[in-house]
Amino acid sequence: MTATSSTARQAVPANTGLLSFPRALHDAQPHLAAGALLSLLALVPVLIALSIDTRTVNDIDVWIKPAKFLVSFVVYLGTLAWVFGQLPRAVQESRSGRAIIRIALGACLLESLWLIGAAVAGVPAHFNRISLFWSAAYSAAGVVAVTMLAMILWQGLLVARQPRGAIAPALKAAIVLGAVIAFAATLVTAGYLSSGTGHWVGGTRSDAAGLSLLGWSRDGGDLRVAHFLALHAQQALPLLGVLLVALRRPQATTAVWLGAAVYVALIAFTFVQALSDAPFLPWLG
Amino acid sequence: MSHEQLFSLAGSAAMAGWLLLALVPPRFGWPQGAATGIALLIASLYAALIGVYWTRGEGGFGSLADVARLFESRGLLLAGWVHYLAFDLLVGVWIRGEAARIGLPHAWVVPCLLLTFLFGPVGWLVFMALRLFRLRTSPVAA
Repeated sequence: MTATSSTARQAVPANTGLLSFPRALHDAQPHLAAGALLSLLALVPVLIALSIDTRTVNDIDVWIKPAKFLVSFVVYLGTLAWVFGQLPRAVQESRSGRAIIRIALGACLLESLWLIGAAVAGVPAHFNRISLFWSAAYSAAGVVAVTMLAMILWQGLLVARQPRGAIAPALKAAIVLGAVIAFAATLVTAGYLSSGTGHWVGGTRSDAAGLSLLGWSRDGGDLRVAHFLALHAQQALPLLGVLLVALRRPQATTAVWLGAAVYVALIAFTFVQALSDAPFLPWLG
Repeated sequence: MSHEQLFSLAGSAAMAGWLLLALVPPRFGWPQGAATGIALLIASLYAALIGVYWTRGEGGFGSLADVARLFESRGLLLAGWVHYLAFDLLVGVWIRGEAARIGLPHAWVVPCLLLTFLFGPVGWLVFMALRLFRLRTSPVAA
């Protein structure tokens, strides 16, 4: 693009500073961005409750689980918003786009109600079969979770269908691969996980001595590691794509495919590792 | 944090809100926003306390005796107090904003704020009386 006049003012980017990323998400897709913000704000009462409550589930505070999931909803909704921002406006305004937005928001709300409800009641959420109500809630939550995954895949398909040139090829590949891997790998890892009675394989059946924040077992296998990696392919692959595009690497698309293959191998490795009773990075605190 | 610490913290936060509402000259509107922000935090504390103690409380809202039983739980008693703090502050926010809207001088607003701070609904009733008088005697206020 050539300058029209030597006196033309250089456009100053309006979005700089700490608030530029949240503002960019809002500009990309306001509903999902607002949902991400609300998930973040919901952490305030949850973290206060965490500091007060002495009740535990699996030997850790009952409020840790809702807190962890709220953080992941911020990331999930934020990523969906960001991806819409990479596409023409018409995509999020289409029937499919609006459905993805509504379903994703509704699903996060339902999961949050279930997790917070279980914490209020002082009972486990996952694997809870103590009563018909909690059993049914756990099953329903599984359906809702699969729906959340399906929204990632659906959005990925919308990206894949974009005409050439609408979005940088490496970024397109990264988003689509991230969506497909997140969907497929999470179905496998979480599906297997939920078919059992807990996330431990061997080792102590308690989260008390687990990895900081995540609670992963330090003395035995923990199926949540692979589940975590699978789920966050939604972020990891696009992040790789953004980096490669920003660094203007040649063969960026090839690098993305390579990265995807490595990531899948990592998921498979941590999955098998857990199944063999072995902890993930046991030397980590 | 202990219940006493939370009690003090919430009380101090509310107090800060009341001072802003009362002492900042009425031509500035930001104290409403600040006090609302404080109320949001106090309300979050309330929500957390309910989340923590609700299922452990005995009694309910069906009778006065039931309510007394409910408040035998120190955690729920703290929640009840924090409920007062949050909502009384929000009434104070409304009073200050409404007074500005109808042109009631701040000199009349401050005692209302004080009464709301100390005696909740009484402060609000006094303000509503002043407001009625103002609306019926001044053609300017709508």
